[in-house]
Amino acid sequence: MSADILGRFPHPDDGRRRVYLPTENGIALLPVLLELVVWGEAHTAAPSQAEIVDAIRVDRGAVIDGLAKKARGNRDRLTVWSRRRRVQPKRRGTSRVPKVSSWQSLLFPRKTVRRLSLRIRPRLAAFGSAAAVVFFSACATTAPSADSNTDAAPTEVSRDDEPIDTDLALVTFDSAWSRINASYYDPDFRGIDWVGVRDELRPEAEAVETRGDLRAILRDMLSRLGESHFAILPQEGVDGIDVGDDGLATDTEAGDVGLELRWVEGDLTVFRAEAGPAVDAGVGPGWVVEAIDEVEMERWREVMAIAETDAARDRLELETVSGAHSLLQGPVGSSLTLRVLDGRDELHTFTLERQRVRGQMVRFGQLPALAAHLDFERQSVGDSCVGVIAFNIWMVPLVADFNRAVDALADCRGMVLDLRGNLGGVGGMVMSTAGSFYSQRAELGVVQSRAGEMRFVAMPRGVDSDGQLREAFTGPLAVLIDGRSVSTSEIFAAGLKSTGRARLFGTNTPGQALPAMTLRLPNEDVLYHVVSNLTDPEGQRIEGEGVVPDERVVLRRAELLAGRDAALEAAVAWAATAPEPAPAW
Amino acid sequence: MIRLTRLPFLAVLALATGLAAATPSAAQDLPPAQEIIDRYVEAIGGREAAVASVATRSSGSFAIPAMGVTGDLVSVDTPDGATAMRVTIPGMGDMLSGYTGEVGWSTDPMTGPRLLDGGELDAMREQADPLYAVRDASLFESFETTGEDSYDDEACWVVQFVWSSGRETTECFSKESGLAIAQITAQESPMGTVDVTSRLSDYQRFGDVLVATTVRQSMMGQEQVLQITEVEFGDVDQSLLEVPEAIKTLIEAGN
Repeated sequence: MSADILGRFPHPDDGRRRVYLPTENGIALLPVLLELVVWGEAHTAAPSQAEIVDAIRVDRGAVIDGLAKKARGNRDRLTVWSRRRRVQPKRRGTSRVPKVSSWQSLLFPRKTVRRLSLRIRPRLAAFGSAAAVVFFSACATTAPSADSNTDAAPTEVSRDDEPIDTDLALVTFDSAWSRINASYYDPDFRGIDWVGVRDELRPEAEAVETRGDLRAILRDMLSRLGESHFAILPQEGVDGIDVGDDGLATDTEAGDVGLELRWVEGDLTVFRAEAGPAVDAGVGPGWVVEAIDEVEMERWREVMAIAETDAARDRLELETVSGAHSLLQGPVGSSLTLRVLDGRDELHTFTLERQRVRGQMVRFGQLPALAAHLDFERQSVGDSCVGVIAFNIWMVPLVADFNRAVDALADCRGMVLDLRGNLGGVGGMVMSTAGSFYSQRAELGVVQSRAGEMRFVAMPRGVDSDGQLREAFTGPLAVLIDGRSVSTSEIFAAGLKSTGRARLFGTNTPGQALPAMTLRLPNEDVLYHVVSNLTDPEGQRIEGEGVVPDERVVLRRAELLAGRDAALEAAVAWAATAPEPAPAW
Repeated sequence: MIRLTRLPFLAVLALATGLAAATPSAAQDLPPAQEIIDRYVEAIGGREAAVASVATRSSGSFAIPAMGVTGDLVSVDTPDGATAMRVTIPGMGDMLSGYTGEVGWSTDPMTGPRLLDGGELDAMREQADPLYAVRDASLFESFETTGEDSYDDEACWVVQFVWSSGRETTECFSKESGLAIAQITAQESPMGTVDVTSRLSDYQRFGDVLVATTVRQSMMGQEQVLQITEVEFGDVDQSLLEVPEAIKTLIEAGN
């Protein structure tokens, strides 16, 4: 390091680890190192490296070029990764953030992506509360953000470039560090030297010049814990939406084009399309996104190549899809350019005008407003039916909608709950939601903090939406999950699977499920931080592990193009034919 | 008046040091619990003023400061022991609970409508009793002074109460003013039992009685704050006591 031979980078999968890669000075040493390898093979008892020695003897220059290319490639990727985490490029003048009620766009200024191509920034999608306990079991993923709305009508101003004085920077840093020091569920910080993190980063906080610089330092600090549900939420994003006394905002400028994307067979692909400008243009499931405005998806595929493990790939998929969704969102009336491949791989370019996002904008506490919506339908299967309920987020105003949906479908033989794309929310909501399917209380998860533990419990719902007595729905119950079923969705799915109440279909969830709280910092930003650990009823941690479906059903482009949703089909077929479960619950 | 066991656990845990850390004193140094209680009753305005003979309606705010959550709080109590409370949080809705004189109930978006039982019902019933305001001996199996402690630098006597139901609570009464400044309970809920430390402050006079207008509750490391801004007596709006339809259904079904 002192001879500038190796460069140190944050490990993309583990905030506690570092990756060391050769600098240009280090690459210049490759000929020497290779000679040492050849010498070692001939004169020492070291493990044989015959394969590389043979390659050196055949074409020494090619080996050196290959190693240098690989080193530079890895270094470049990690540099991008590192910047996503830390760098707040200095910009001159005022940067502006499009005013959108979408939390992604509110939280993530969109100016820097042109230079970085992809930047991961913390984001969060929900929080939690309960009558007996409130825990924010939100989705605290990281998400790329991009500046794509060249014709958007920006109304919110990023404060990243505002100067910050040293005293405020330090008191903010100290406040965030101390809060976590006092409230993190493990006083030993899972072996992480939390005091050491402070000692390393506090001098950097003391040297910052702008709010953006400080935010980068704080995010670096949070990343050291290597868990979800840690974020710094910029003040301008948190306070950027007006809501009524009831926490709802109906007059919102949040817009999108009605597309939901996933990585399918290596391409960012339309998974679901709802009525709106994209569908009006002819775009549908199975179409491949090549570019959104000037952001080429090819660069994103390169980022995906960083992942060396399934877990890292799952996380990157979550982040990149979130980033793509951010690009699709913007103020109502603004437009974007979408370049897509149709089912015959013919390229189309559309200019789409964003329409108002679907659902109700809900805000809780210091967290940004989120759009919440729920749909349900009855699918006829033979002489009976299977009810399908889908909702995008665990927000309390949806509880009544959910109960009404369950009541309306109660005569069906089976039911399917579609949690794909549900990014989490109010943790306590799992209790009343699960209560529709249990006739007696059942433990769904355990919340552990420094001061004790509590349980998420399915609370049998004894009264229907009309105030009449009801019996629990005891028919077969399927839950659909995927890589974008996060946090509270994971708690719910894991709890129902663990108790044997539901069969899970789809793909693995990302494993981001920890109860978290917020703190308004002295600089007015909001610290979102973990306060508790969480396990399923069997003691299995969901964080970092995810929830594994009972029946794995992956997306296929051909099926999407044919208008099929294979996971839903499998779940409905099962719910229509599976024997009624034993009423153990 | 506000009964602390009826407050929802909107924030959680951090079992404050509380009375478990109270300094034990030699028995001869401790004043008798009844003496501490008598002084407390006198401090809040006397038994006649404290044991309400008319309905009371209290209103104010509810907050979880660290999360920026604020809402409204209303509570109604009657001399015959009926009580109800509503906490309204933006983005979450209403959380209601009450005691009819026979049945304890609760309804909120997290746990749905339900009838209380076990320790939850005991706590609701016992604290709904108008005599609770003066810690009347008839409500308890026993109470005794167990030590001394301090909250916010205010020294206080620790009194351990064993209620008729067998549940235990602890309170700390200021040595200087005689007023209750802290209460420790193990509060039961469907999610388990949670230790709750409530710190009472900012006593203000409403009518003839002193009321703690600020209550800071610590649980699971989090704090929630309620503030009373208004207390009405007599001919007050009692509509809050009307049991919700879903609860009526459960009562009729005997659930």
